[in-house]
Amino acid sequence: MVELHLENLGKSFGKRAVFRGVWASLRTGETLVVTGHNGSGKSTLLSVTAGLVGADTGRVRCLVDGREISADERRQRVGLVAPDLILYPELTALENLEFFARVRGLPWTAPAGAALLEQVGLGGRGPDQVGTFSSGMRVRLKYAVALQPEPRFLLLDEPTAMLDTGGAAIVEQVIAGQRSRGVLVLATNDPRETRHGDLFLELGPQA
Amino acid sequence: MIPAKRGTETFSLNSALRPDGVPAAGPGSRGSDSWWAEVSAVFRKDLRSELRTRSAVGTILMFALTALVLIAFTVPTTGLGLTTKILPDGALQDAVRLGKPVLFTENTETRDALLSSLYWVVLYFSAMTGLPRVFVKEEEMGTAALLRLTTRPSAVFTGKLLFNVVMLLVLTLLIVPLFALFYDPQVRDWPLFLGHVIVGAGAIAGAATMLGALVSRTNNRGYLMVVLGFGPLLPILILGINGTAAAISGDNGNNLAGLVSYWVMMTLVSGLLFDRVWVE
Repeated sequence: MVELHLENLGKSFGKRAVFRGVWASLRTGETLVVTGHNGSGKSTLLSVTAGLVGADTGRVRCLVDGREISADERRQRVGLVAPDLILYPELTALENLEFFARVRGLPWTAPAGAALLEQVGLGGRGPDQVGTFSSGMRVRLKYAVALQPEPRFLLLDEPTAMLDTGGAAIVEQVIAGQRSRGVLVLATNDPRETRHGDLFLELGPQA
Repeated sequence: MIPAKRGTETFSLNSALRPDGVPAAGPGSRGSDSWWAEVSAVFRKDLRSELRTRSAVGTILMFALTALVLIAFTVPTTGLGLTTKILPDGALQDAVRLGKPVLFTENTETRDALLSSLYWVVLYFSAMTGLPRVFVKEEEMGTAALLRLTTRPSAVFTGKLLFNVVMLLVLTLLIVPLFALFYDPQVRDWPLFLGHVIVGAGAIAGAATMLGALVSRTNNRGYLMVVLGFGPLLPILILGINGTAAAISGDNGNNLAGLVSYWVMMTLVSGLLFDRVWVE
């Protein structure tokens, strides 16, 4: 059983409050959809949830089988796909996968990496440098990196941005697959994506 | 307060997207073997990246080369009162007796100190221009976020520290022959000289790694790096300059213990503070 609890989260940049008093609780199989206009703090909320950015108030608790996992374990268990996450352009797709597998302490074999690339529609592009990839291909590779550890906590910021119809279909599979694996948080305003939500959180202007 | 509201829609579950043959990571904390594997991955990634882009090596080497050549052509480091040429016993007296002009003296203190300072100043500014790149590049290219998300801070710090130490040592081995070629330092005690430049390079790399992490998220990084680096690196420079000057002149002046101690202390303190600097 996986649980994700956002407890009274608040974040400000300087004097500007991005969001305050955010509460949400999810369990295995549930999806939280975060909506809001541009600049409402959707991406920041996902960054705080992932542990990339510290919250000013409140806390994020990630539980696996009733046990709160440590920050180290969270690095293994959280998958994040977001527009501002960048892969190493000077490395090949396979080298990127290998690097992120090794730093997460995951077993690594090149055939397994190639199979993962195949599943995100990048079959045969493993030896190519990421710098030569299109925007959509880079997003697909981000999905491969995020899914590598079979994340119990998957956070997707604008999940289908830059993707073609084939890529969007892969995202549908990912979203569906996450229900059996853990919890999912989607930051999006796209009605095709918001329909996946079990819980909804609308962020708005803060006073 | 913004509470999440529960919806009513339900969806069927599909199988997880997962390649065959890749076992899922087991829960629990990662051990020391895994930590070293992380450090090694960070080191090898930076090495591979550097071999392809040559951003740091190129910067450091070109700065050092330009500075060494420029000074060699503009500042007299040989000549009356600056040479270290040693006349054989009695040669000075013979020259005087025979009325030959004597161009060389044994008053070498000024030249030893000058050449020693010159070497360390070149190394300091070269290192300060290139070593912070390991962190600055991650921030500039936007790759730092994914690195923070996936990798333990201590593994990031140690991997990048090792990379900087190795890079500066390799560059030291390239710079020392150029230094010898351009300035003819006539070192009397080469093992002591090399000991100081190697340990000093390691100490500079250690301090510069932490400073690179500190300034990587600021504006005016280049300026800040040189200014902030001056304090922590001053003891290394003083010990290094005095030690290599002693090695050139053949005097007593082994500062290796002091350099190693400072290197270890800087690395430990940097390692302890790095979490606060790296994670927002």
